[in-house]
Amino acid sequence: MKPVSINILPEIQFVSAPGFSPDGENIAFVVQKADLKNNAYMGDLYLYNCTTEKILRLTCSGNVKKFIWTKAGTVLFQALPSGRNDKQKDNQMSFFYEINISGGEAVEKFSLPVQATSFYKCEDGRFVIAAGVDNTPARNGAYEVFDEIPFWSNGRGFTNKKRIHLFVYAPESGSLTSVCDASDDCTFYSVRGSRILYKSYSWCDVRQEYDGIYLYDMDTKTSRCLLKKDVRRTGHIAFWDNKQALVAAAQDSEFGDEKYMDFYTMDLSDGSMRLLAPYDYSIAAGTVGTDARLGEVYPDKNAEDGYYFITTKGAYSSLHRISRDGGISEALTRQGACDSFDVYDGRIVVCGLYENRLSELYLDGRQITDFNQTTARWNISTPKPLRFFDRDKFEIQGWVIKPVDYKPGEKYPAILHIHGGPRTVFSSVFHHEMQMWAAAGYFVFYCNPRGSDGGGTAFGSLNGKYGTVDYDNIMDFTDKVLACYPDIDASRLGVVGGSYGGFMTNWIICHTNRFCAAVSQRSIANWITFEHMSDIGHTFTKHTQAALTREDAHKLWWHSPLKYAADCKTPTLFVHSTEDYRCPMAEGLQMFTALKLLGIETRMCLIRGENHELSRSGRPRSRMLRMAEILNWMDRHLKDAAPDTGADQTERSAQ
Amino acid sequence: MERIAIEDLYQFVFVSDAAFSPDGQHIAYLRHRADNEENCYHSELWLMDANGENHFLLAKRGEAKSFLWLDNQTILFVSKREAIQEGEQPATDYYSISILGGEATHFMRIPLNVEQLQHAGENCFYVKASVPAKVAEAAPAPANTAQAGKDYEVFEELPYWFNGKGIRNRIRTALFLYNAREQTLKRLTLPFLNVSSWAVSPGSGRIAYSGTDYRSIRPANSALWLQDGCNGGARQLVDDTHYNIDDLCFMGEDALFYTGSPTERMGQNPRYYRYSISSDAVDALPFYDVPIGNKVGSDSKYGGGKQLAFSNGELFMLHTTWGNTRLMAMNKSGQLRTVVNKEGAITGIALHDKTIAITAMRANRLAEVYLVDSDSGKELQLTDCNRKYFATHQVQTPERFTYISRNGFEMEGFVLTPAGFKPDGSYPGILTIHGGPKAAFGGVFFHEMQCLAAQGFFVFYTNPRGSDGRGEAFADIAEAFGSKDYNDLIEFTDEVLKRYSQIDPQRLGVGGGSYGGFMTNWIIGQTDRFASAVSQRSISNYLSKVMYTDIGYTVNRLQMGAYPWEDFDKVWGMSPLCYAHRVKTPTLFLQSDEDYRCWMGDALQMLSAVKRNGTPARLVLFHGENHELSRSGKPHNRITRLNELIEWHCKFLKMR
Repeated sequence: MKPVSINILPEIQFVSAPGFSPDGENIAFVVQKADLKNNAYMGDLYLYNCTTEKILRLTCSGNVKKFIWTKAGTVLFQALPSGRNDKQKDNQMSFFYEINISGGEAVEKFSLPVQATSFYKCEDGRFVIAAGVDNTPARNGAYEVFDEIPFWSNGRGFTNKKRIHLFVYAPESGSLTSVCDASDDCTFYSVRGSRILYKSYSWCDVRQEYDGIYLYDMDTKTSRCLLKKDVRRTGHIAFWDNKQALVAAAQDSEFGDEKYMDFYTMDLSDGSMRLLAPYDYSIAAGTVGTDARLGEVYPDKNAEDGYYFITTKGAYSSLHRISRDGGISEALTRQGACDSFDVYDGRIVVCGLYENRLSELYLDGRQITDFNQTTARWNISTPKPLRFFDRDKFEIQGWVIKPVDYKPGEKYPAILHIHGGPRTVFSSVFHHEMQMWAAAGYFVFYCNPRGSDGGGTAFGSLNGKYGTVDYDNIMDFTDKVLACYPDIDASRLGVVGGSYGGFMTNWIICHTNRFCAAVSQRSIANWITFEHMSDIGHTFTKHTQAALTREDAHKLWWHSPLKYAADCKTPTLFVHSTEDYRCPMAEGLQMFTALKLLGIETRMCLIRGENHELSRSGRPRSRMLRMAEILNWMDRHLKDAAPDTGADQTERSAQ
Repeated sequence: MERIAIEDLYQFVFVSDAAFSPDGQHIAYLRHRADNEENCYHSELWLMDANGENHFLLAKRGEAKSFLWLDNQTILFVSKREAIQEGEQPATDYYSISILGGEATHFMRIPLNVEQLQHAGENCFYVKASVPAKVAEAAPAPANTAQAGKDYEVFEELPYWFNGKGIRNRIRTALFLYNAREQTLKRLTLPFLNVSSWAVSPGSGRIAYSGTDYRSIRPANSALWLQDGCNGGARQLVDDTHYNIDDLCFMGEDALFYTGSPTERMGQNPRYYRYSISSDAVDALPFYDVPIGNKVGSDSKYGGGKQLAFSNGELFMLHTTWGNTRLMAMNKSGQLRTVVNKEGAITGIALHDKTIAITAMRANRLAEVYLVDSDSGKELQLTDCNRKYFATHQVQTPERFTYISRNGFEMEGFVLTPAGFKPDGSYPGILTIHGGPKAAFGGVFFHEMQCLAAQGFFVFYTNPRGSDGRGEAFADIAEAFGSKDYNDLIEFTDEVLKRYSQIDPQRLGVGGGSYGGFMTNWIIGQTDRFASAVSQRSISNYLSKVMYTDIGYTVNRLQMGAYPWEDFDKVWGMSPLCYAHRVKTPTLFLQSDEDYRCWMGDALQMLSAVKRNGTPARLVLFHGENHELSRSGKPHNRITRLNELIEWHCKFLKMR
């Protein structure tokens, strides 16, 4: 048996995005792998034949990330021509290739003068393309102009005057027709015949949140508004039948925008909406956290027998279906993370993480791929559940991972891990970093405090309460873990978290001294600066802190960890990415400087060219560096007689 | 006469760094010029006789950005004639050229990015350069792993970055001795010592330097060190518990002049000291309540110049008084006499025995070299590099006036009338606010203001409390940001409007950079009388400014009187963002993304708040520029900056 180390990252095969062929005979999917030499992920198309149960590798170029089936049974995928890379800033083109599953190399099919983000092939051969467009007047690249809020977007970079538009592409004539206006920002779309149902927000200056819903006729090239923007919060949409759409939408609630959405039908003639089925969980969103998945996510699909969607219930995500009568049933029940799926004539293929395995494909519940056989040789420590009820009678679910090679009676250091969101969940699925810590001799424990996903609106409500009930849950959970696992050395506890988990880590180190080491990643230190710099600043702050700066700066300051910096005693490492526009590096820098000034041992690792997704889809070398920094920090502070391994190259050369 | 235009930047010749040959027969100096095609500055080394005759170009290839006289016939200058390949060790090439003729020849290659060089006698040179705190014991990162300094940075210190110098964690400014014959390099300073200023004795035998030796947080105060000869050890003369040592100059081999600025209060002026090396005694010299150096702001300066120099028993220094720079001379006992006291700014001093030359901005023109009669202070202009430009362009002369303020001080103000001004006309006016706040505006040529005047704007500016040139009590507005200074500026605006009825009070604009950007952000949150604002490299939120900028935890903390967690209401109350929700003034923000003095986070915050009011707002973010954009940024970016600034005012003050 082999320990799970940082270095296994390049061994992981990330399986993703299965899709049935039009005849249901084959399932195509993508497998990606970290390539350290190129510091990138190489992705290729694979094919599973449902009859022969054989797997065939279709492409070898390593540049495939997403694809669709054409009616003819070929596979169309978007890729960059060799010699180009997505770092080229002038790259405004999209290139599409087609490969025949019965043999032959891929050939370029067409290219488009837009940056496609998704594509769909209609019955009649036309394509619906979602693509980024840039409405900025041409100028030299020496500077940026920001005259919109937000002016940047995590993962997309500077987005001032940039929009996502929908286009209809007719391959025969080569015409590319925009569905929307220049100022539109389109999100979800659904196609039926020659009609496109889509959501869009038309804006300039300041973007607010609630999209409008529109119906576009490809033949008349006209759009009709079914729901005006800024009226109502909606989520995923789909055609329900010829006259109705299915819309996930919120109704007025004491919980405001924290309320989960219900299912509505919308009349396509006048936009009137009718409640079809109430629901109190996420719709078309799996939020199970892990750093061991990579690939496109398709969280919903419209089928003959209803609308299939991924939902997070409890600590797991699973596939559900709502049928025409509004009945909601579980289409696939299995504890794990259901990340992507497809359905065909009653058959279901799922890509997900189950038990201790990495992402693999499951057809009707039976595992059909085994790209990560190597995991069988890994020494994985299975998370053990630990639950309790908090003072408000909410059940808090948590887990404890014992150190690999655990020997009862010996004392071990432990790491508390806090997820982001906060509306996501941790579960028992494979998590590379947590297993790596266990292999390094740590107990690892984590829970889903109030504010997490999967527990309904009342449980998930945390507006204006950050740092109170959630903090209490996490501290109570820590007490329970220590009581249940006496082999944890309570004087050697560490805490790690990212995003909301980074906020909570900052909060924790300022409110208790029980942790002797902390790693705060992509964190939040100051809600006032966050509101004004994050790509989601003014909306997220309003919904989670119950106030904006202009309304109540003192409220925001009260919930800001920086306010309590003088109480901090915990040595803390900050990890931040320079292009994180969700939690901008200003947050980490403020907290780091405060600790520094207060004489607390601290260090900041600032990773260039990465964003908020560093731990999940950052470039391989950056991810490995990040893991090494965190482990070194923990080892230095939580292990007796641990060698001073915290030295990176800079430090080594400096001493 | 032509009106001044933004692109005139390409016509300016910036004169700097004049220096006499050791025998006093010649003066060498630099000319710099912005180049439109290559988007850079070209620097040239020029020579003339000490009386200004026989002017000629010595060297231009490879950008001669600095030089020194080796002997009466030979000048050593830096040149980039041989490109340093990427990935190679940093290196700086020096060439020597004879003033008697012939091309330059390669003299030495110092394996450092040299910031300053001084002769140490024979074949040796003192070198100042930024290097890792301790020289690498070279354990390169394994292949296929993230590289420190490229893929990521580690911060363990404050400051972790510094404006104009980039990432500074575990980087120190160090002094070296380079032996050109043996090609050996020896580090003179301690591994963690960061040198701020340094001086070499007249006979080159001694070197003195001030700096801070730190491993975690760079302190505000610095220590003074002395090293005898090339091989002697360094000893500390003054420890780092007293003040910040800014200026150093030997007064002969045995005496060292230095200044120490206390750091307990904001804006304190340096105290002058004389250190007798042989007796190890410090004499406190009289306190004149004035810092050394030219603090008069202009966007039309480029290159350096000595602010302090010793010759013939006297120490010559520049003092900024009100909006002018004076040349003063101090004797051994600390008594001062005025050598030159004229309107304008002196940008550098050159001395040979009793002969004095200066580079100075006179008569509302760019800097030129002047010979100074040491008795009468009369000046003889030796260069006239911008004669043609000023002969053909219409420069508006700032009209200066003074008044007694409600604050009890006599205040000075300047007004530029618009080009083509007619007394019965009605014009928009722009209040311009300088940075610092401890800096000063004077009557010198200022391209941005001249461009505004050429476009038909009145431009008016003053030196409110907090400014330099009026003593340290005047400069101290600690914990009163946005009150004392704001009151002065508003009162001044009223004074200007009273005196110039042609300014339309409905068409007022405001702008400024750095501290002036703070004040612009402040003003738009306090009053709606300005119809247009341009806030540059600004400060909006001292909660964050204190926490993420190079001088935040020292200078800004002192200005605020508290860290955010110590007194939120105080710090937040002096932050423009606190009032941003009521801003109605259309505002343009100009910001550079490598400005670590006033980091972009503050401008972004203000943009977000103002924009959400429904008020027109725009931010232009320049890549790869820092706090010095308006003064030494890449020419194209400077042009863009001025275009944006003027277009914004034109748009909202209804021009065009």
